[in-house]
This record gives sequence, C-alpha cells and structure tokens, in this order.
Amino acid sequence: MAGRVITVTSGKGGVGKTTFSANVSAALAELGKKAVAVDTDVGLRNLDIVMGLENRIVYDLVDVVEGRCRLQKAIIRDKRLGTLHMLPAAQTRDKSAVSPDAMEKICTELRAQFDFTIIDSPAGIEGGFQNAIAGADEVVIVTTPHVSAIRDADRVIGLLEAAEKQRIYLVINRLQAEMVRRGDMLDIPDILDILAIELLGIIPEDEFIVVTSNRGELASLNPASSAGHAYKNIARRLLGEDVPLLPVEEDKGLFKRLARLFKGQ
Amino acid sequence: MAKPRVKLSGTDYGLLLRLEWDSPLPQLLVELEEYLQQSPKFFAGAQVLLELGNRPVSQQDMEQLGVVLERYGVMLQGVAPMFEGVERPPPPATRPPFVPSPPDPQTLIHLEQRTVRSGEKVAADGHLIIVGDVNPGAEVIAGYNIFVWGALRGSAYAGVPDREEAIITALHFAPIQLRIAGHIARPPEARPNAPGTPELARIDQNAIIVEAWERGRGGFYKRG
Repeated sequence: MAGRVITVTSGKGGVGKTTFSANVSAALAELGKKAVAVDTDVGLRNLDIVMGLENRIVYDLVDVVEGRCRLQKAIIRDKRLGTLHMLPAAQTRDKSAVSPDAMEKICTELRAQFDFTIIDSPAGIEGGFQNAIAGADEVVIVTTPHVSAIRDADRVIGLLEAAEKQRIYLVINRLQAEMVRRGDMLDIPDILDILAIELLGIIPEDEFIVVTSNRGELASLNPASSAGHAYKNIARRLLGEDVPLLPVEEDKGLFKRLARLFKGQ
Repeated sequence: MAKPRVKLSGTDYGLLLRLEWDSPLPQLLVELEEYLQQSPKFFAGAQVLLELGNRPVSQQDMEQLGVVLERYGVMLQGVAPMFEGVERPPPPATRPPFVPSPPDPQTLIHLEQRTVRSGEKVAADGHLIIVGDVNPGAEVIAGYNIFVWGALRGSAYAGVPDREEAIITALHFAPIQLRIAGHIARPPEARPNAPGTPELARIDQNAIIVEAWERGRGGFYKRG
C-alpha cells in the first residue's frame, strides 16, 4: 500500500491546524480509509487533547525517533473508529529532538501502513515546520480570513515552493458569512487572488468546534455541526470526489440546520 | 639548486605568482605544488594574480593549474600578461581572455517568472522584470527599472542607490511602499483600491509620482 502523506501547516498559530488535522483524519477514517494523525508539535502537543486520546499515550514520536520503541507501539488506535489512529508528540522535549531525516523515515513507514497520514505541524517556519514538511507528498495550508494569517500563509507557500512541494492546497477556516456580507472580512476571491493556489475547502465559523474540541469529541463525526460537514467534504475532495463548495450562508439556527440535515445536504 | 621556477611577489595589484614556464607543464605543476605546500596556511584563501610569461596558454593548461591552486584554497583573481618592470614581449593573441570585464548593468535584465511571495526578496543589478505578482511582504529591488507584469502589492525599490531616472511599472499597482533612488513613498490611505490598469511611478520634481501608463509615451521615460 502506498498511502498519501499530507502535512497541515499555516505559518501563523491559532488558525485551526490541529482541529483540521483531527477532524479530517476522522472524516477519512469514517469514509473507510485507514488514517493516522501525527502531532509534530514537540513540546506543545495538543492533537491528543482535541482527539480525546490524551490518557492513552504511552510512547511518542520522540521515543520512536530515539529508538526507545517501534513505531507500531507509539501509534494509538481510536476506539470510536477502528480506522482512526494517532501518533502523539512528546510534551517534555523540544523541536530539536526530531530531524527532517527522521521524519522522512517515519513517513515512509507510515505510508506503507496507512491510506492517509495527516501531519499536524507547529506554528512558525523554523525547525518544527521543516520536520513537518520533510516527508509530505501534499501540503494543506490553513488560513483564516485575516490579513496577518494570509500574509503568513503566503510566506509558507513561498517556502514550500522553494522546497519543491508540488501539491499545495488552501483551506479557509472560520469564515463568518455575516461579516463577509457586510464587507468587514476579506472574501474568498480576494484571498485566492493573493495566494493563487488550489482551494480545497472553506470551513464556517462554528461554536460547535469549541465545545467538541474541549471535550475531545470530533465535530466531523457530528452531523449537526456545519464545520464538521465542511471537514467531511474536504475528506471527500481528498479522495477525488467532486464535492461542490458549501454555499457561504449565515447560520440560521437549529431549525434550518436540522432541515439541511434531513435534506441530506 | 636550480633557479626557482615559482616566485611570489607583492605588487600594487595584490599578490603576483610568477611561473617560469620553461619546462613541460606536468613538471611545472609539481613545482607549483611543492611551493604551495611550504606555506599552506598563507595560501589558503589568498587571492593571487598569475603570471605565465609569454608562453601561449591553452584552456587545458589553465584548468590543470586551476586544479592545483584550488587544492590549496588559492583564489585566482586573474592572469597578468606582463607586469611593470619586467621586460617581456607582449602576450600572443592566442591567449584566451581569462578576466572578462564586468558587463554594464544597464544591459542586464533579470527575469523572474513566478509569484514573489511574502518574505521573499528578488534583487537585480540591472533591470528587473517580474512576470507574476509581487505579494504583500515581498520585496523587489533593482539598480535600474522594475517592471511587474502582474500585481505589485509588496515593496519595490528601483534605481538603487541613486539613479533618479529609474521607473517602476505594474499592471495592477498597489504597493505597500515604493522607493526610487533616495526617495520613499507609500500610497495614500485614501486610495483603497488601485484602478487595476497599468500605472507607473517615477521621480518628478524631487518626489515620487504615480500616474497611469499612457500608450505612446514610452520614449518619454527614457531619460538620463
């Protein structure tokens, strides 16, 4: 099996890389693909919390890199979805504990075992970022519709182009339809005009995400979440399905959401 | 001991390494190597001029000499055909030119065909042509003119350091900052949207002005 290794990165922190990594991994797993989410944010690990697997960590990425355990032993299998897995980062070390070479080796192993390896990268463009992209076949850039996030995304795209990464996709996160409509937020054509890369998806602002990620639940597994729906669509697009972008509309309350759900949209 | 065939002297132009080229090349190479071996620390990183007398030198000869020099970290600045105070016949015409004169920057054009993204810097001694966008946070710099066949949203610095006649043009002109020679300008706050038609920046009466590109005026900008 030759799986795909996809790194999720952004430059700027707090734009939703970890939430994206967790939810898209889960959505892919739900679609029957064997998926593993890898946390490369050594020293500031979060992915385990968002995925609700914190209390099951025994070994981590640095243990694998330093030869204290085999890769297999560090990977945690999710009990909700048998196809979903996670490889946690070490919390008590820093980025220098991993090297791009070591990451490439691990990615080669993961590629042979999983359909999808989703690598969550730390914020920034230093060593941790270089580790995260070392083994990637594809890269997803997550940005929010803020000028500063877009500026950083642009910087990262430049670095990825210099590293000769060919497939780079854009995800616009936390879009607030009402603000775009009022002209208070950059709209999608403006963002695409500057970044000029392929758009993989748009995720609406959804307070569901705050609730679920604090509880270690995954919004993409919850049919009532509009963001969860968008994550699922992104997973399907990664699988090559032609899924149209969700119309950017305001959240019209529970009733409309339920109606949408019944219509199967 | 025979007269040394390798001799080092200081001149107004720097170190001069003179080779008495009266023996076959392989022997000369051995002697050169022996000479360099005596003080490797001195020669490592040293810049020298080479004097080879009046013997015709082929490209292959030069390459072999270069290999030996490189091994000791010697940087070859050039080949001196004949030095002051030394009476030698002029070098034969067959000698290849080893020291090309630097080209006039005004004739140099650097072409960049891509999106220049935030944090990237493209610099050229001569003219700079970008086919693509210059994004916010990117910097393009040229000794002469800058032409952006795309959107200019970053910073552009033309006419470095003091070429007042330099111009900056873009199809979509929305820079964060402009500099021409010693002048700095930023677009006025009251211009939220660039018109989206080609514009041009130049210096007029000691200030940078931006104006619409007018057909047929190309020659006007060819000043200085």
